[in-house]
Amino acid sequence: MKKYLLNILLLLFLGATLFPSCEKDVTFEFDRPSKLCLNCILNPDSTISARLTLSRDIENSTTFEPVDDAKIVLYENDTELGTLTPRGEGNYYLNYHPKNQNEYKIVVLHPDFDNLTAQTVVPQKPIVGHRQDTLEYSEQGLYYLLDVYYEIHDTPGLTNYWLYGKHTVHGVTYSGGGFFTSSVKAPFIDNFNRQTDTEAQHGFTYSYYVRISDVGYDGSILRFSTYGKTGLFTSFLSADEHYDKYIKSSVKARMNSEGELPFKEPVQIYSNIKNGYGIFGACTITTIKL
Amino acid sequence: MKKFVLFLLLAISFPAYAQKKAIINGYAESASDKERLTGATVIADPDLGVATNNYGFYSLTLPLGTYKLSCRFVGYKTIIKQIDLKNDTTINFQLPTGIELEEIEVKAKRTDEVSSQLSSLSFLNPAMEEIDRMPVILGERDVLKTLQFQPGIKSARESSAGFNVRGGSNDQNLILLDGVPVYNVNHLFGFFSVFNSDAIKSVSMYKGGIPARYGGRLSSVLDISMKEGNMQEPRGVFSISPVSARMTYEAPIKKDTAAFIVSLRRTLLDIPMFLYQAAIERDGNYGYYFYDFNAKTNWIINNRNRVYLSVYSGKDSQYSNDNRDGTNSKFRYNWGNVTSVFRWNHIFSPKLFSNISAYYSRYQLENLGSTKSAKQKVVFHATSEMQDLALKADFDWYLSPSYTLRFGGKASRMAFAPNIVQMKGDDADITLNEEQKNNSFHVESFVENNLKTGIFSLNLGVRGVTYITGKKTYSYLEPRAALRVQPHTGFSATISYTKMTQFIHLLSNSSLGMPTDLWVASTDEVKPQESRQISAGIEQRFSKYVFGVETYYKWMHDVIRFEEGAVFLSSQDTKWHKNISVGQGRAYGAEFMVKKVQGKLTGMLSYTLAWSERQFNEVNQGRWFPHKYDRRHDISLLGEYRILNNKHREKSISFGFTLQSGNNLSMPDVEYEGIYLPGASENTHGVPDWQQSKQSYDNPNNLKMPVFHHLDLGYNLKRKKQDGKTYTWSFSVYNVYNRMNPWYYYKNPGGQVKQISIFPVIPSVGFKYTF
Repeated sequence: MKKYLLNILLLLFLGATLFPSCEKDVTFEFDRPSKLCLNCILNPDSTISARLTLSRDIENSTTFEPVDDAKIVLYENDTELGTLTPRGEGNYYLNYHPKNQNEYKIVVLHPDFDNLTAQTVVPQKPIVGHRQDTLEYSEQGLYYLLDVYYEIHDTPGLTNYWLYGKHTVHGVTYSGGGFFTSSVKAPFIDNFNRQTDTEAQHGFTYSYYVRISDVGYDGSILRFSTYGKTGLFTSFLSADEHYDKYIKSSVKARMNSEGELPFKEPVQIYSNIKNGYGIFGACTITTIKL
Repeated sequence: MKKFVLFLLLAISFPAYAQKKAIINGYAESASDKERLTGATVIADPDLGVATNNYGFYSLTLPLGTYKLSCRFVGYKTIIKQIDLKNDTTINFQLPTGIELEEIEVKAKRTDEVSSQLSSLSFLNPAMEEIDRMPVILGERDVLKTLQFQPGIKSARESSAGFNVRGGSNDQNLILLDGVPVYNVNHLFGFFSVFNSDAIKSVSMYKGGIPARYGGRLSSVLDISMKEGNMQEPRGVFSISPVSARMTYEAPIKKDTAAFIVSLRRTLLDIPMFLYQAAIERDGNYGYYFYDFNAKTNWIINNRNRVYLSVYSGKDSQYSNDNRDGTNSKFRYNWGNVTSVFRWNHIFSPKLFSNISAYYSRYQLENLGSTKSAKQKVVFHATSEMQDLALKADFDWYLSPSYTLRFGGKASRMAFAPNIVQMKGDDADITLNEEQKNNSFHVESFVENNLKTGIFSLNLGVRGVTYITGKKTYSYLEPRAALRVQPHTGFSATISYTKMTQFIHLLSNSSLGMPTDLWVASTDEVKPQESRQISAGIEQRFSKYVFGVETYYKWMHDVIRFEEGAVFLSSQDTKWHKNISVGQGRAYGAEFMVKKVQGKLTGMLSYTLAWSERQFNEVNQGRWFPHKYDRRHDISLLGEYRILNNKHREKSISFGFTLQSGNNLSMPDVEYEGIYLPGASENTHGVPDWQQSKQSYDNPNNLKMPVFHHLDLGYNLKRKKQDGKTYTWSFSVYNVYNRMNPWYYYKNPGGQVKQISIFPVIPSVGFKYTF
């Protein structure tokens, strides 16, 4: 039996040498052929502009190659609206203001690539009311701090809103979604980017943007309050289905790249461009100056 | 209405022929310990036979007359009894252990007889002694890993206990321990399963043609039975490997009437860690351990009644304690299962056997972190728990040798509390997700007709399921059919249809068997998963070889996955059902196998050609894409060469080789120009890079990992003493030629992709002592 005991001790020793793992750098040969990338967001407040570039291999750090020799045709409610004029550096332009609730289709023709196609519908302009209460002066006396009460009068049908703001202090403009992210709380706010933050006013913050979905609140008045300051431009962007998904997937991808936890589900950036990349979407924006 | 009519048709039993007959019934048992034998064949000449059920019971109705009645089971000597059948008779068979010359042929026949409608590619019934001799990693026997050498059953990742069957995901496998569902089968982050091989009596697995008595998962059923306890004399097993030590002890409480078995396994991994930390006088400690405890007792009350009580408890714990600068930090990551079942076998009549059981199963994981100092105290505590309480009754009615009717039902209550998070500080105490707790109730019933006539064997059944959760009630009928045609000896053709429904889902970030994997229930918003599978195949048996081919096609509906970017146990504060996408799946392929079942060299060579795809409206513009575990090709070889086998010694060499297409993973492979997000273009500081360019991929799982392969060798040496004691040494080399298969990839902050490989060549030795 002694012999067996000795062997058992040997096994215990072997147990201490478990799982020597190995890490090494790897390079993947992706070798993806370039495809056309079309970016175009229709907004009734602007004329139509689009950008057309080539995608590149992920290992390639050169700038995106503009494509100026394509033909881009736009259709409104299945009727040809016109061909966008190339203006160099991948920019295309059409002097036309899209109309709310109209359906648009875009077709990109290029001899070296498959045709790109995509559709979108321009949403209705958000109807937003607000009132504000003055709280106090800021320390520098540059602006008043405000309590602001907003009302979005939602129109029937699926509507998605993205909130952002713009404020200029000492000639420096701060612009983006961050003006709302730590001070709003409402049941209709999408929690996809909500992060627990015990120091925030409500115990959480939203990463980069606040997204409001009217699912379950269709056609209602969506009320919420937040902090503001005089001089702040607050914007309510109603995005069509595709632009909405594009923004959401972009924010998710960004959050994914920042997180520390491994084994996260990766994010595919949303695209509605058939045979290519990019986005063809639409939005309408209502802006309020406080 | 159609479904109701179908149910009625199936519920009405096939008529039994009225003749002057008598019944022979009884049990098949091991003579040495009175362990009941599942799947033993009892045959009355010339050609009427049945297989014993899961409790060793058989019943044969025969015309009056004289018969030669034989009972056979692999690894045991065949018993033949001459009987003159005049009245109903009870005959119990006590089979002595030993090797018959015909054993190998019996082994080949065994699968036929236990599940006569299915091929050995749809129904697997490996003997535990075969599993015991296969090469292993780190000396640790593991039923689930040996099964992964079978065609159509593949591990999620290298050396993971989690497995995927015929393109399904790893939550779609119903894993039963003594009839009780086990929800987490992973120890050590999935490297080992929770099943202690020393305490297991039998294993059977269905990949297709799943009979109506099973339900609740889409892809497979793995039914594991624990040993019952030796009714004759005290026996024990002690075994040790570099990973764990195991002790099993069984003894009669009252000879031939009642017995018990207890088995304990505990990892040894924390011992060297503990010694090292003590040696360096570390201020604090860290470590990891797991254990399993199995206990079972049974009591034969009389010829018609027997009761069983079995309990399983297993836990993994990863922990650390640190004391630095007056601050005490603790971390705990615990997860584990508890199952218990009480069963009552009752023979209502010589033809009617029943098993009535009540069981409880719980899976719990806990993540606890705390920091304490003189100034502050912060506690983070996250738990996920599910509990399953059920009452179940199954009946086997042996109406004639050619017809057995099985029927039964189950009522179950399940309680889910996923991802309950408590954060406690000096000034705050927040509990999140309490509203996610939910209960469900389901009622299931089944009827199964087993019919053998001429060259045909048919299993026709239906399972009715009603699931109630919240305000919603889901009801399903699941028809099942399996037909086998044997036009001549040795050749058979099989075809089967299976519809399955699944009410619980595993949300997994990685299928790593990580404790972050989360079981959740179908709700008002999340429908149950459904699948339909058709499989068809042929099999040809020769004296030494078996050839088989089987094709299958499986449709899956309402399967769920994490939405892109979702992470559990992060500080993201969202409800699980807001984090998922619901879609569909399809899997199809063909499995080819050659088995050598006789001679010194035995084993199986198999090849699988398979596809598995998924489609979610929110992902990939609604287009189909390959499943993460879509492996096109898979070649597996598993075998054994018996060098010596006599009264005193056994020596054998075993080998396992697998070569598979790699897993898929999603990794950005293309970059294109982005469009600025709302408001960003007016920022004086410019637009951040992440908005100016987008990294993405054409479809999820766009990248194929390198081909996965490894060769494992084992050498077993068993010495048998006259007093019944045995000493077994098992030497194994995992990954003989040191293939560094990728386990996972990640990108470091600099954007460099890193490959992690975990298992180089690993020699190991295990020792087993039975007394």
